[in-house]
Amino acid sequence: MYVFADAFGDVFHWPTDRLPVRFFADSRSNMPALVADAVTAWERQFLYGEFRGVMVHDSTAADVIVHWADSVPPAAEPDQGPPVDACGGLTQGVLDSSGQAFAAPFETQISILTGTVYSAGQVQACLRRVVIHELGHTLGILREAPDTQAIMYVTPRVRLPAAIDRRTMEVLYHTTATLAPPPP
Amino acid sequence: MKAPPAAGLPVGVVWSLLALCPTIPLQGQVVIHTAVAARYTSTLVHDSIVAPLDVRADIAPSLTAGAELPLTGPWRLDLLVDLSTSPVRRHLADGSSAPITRLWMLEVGIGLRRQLEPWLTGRLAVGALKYLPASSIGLFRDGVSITPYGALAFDIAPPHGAPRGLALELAGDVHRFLTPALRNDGFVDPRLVYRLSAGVRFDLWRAR
Repeated sequence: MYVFADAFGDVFHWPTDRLPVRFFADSRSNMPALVADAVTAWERQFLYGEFRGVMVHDSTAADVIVHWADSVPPAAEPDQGPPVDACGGLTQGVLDSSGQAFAAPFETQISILTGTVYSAGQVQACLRRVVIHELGHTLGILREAPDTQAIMYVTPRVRLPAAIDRRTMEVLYHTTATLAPPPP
Repeated sequence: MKAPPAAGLPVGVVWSLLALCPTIPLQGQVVIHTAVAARYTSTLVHDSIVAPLDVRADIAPSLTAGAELPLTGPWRLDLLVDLSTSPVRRHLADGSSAPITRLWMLEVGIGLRRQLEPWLTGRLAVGALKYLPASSIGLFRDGVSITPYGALAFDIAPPHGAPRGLALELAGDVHRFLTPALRNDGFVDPRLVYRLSAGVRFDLWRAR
């Protein structure tokens, strides 16, 4: 297990009365499928129904909004070769004035890195890993994992949440949260 | 393909019981019956994540349908189908609970039944039980195998009979519970689960 609290020791997870968490995905390219697959990947880490997610078509009714930062890659079959850092992600949650609750939906931006030329398949393989990683932050893992085999490693190398991610998420969802979710 | 672990036992028992049946039952000896009951199910999973937690199904309404056929001596053969449903929840040590999904439980069984006292009838049964979760979530995400069960039931009725064979039925059964998802998460031994039910039984059709 790795540390899931933020730098101040605050803990967040979605409470039972806010399930299913509502995810909105940018409709361009295959972002909806990437987000839906990532939600499923995280749901499968829980044995006792602690987290459930659902896709919504209205961003104003979402708890988490995922969109492209700039360029939109073409949909393609993901490359099966070694992982490359062809994309990146950033998740932001803004606290309200009390510092005890999130003020607005989590917002995740997914970007395509252009410093090196990657194939469409390499980009798609990267996107699958990074979207799962970023959604891990929106579920409450507020730090990067130090373990290179974790999907929550800063530059994820694995395709799905690993056993250490599962254990961390399980413990997180059975730990008392100190931060409240954004208003519904 | 690996056979479900429960498949062999009920089939073998069914053939053994049918071998006891010497003749084709006469129509006048056949009783079609039903029962409605409330059923308690013991803890399905006990785990500890930060604090202990249990997974249990709520008290469930159940509906049983069956056919009684004659055997030699005082025994009667009972063919049974039973369906019950309730939400299944995780219960935390602080007393709180949260729903996981709705669970349907379907069982098919075969039993031996006989009168023990003028007012009391007993039944032993074995069969196969299938959990049918409403959604493939959590511990049910990779399905649930069919599992064998053993059951004991008693019907209590007025000594001289009641209209439509009305009787109070008290029943209990045991089976083992483990899902592939639990196994993948490190659970090794199936948990012994018992269910207790109380309800009323009555005849739907009795040939005269």
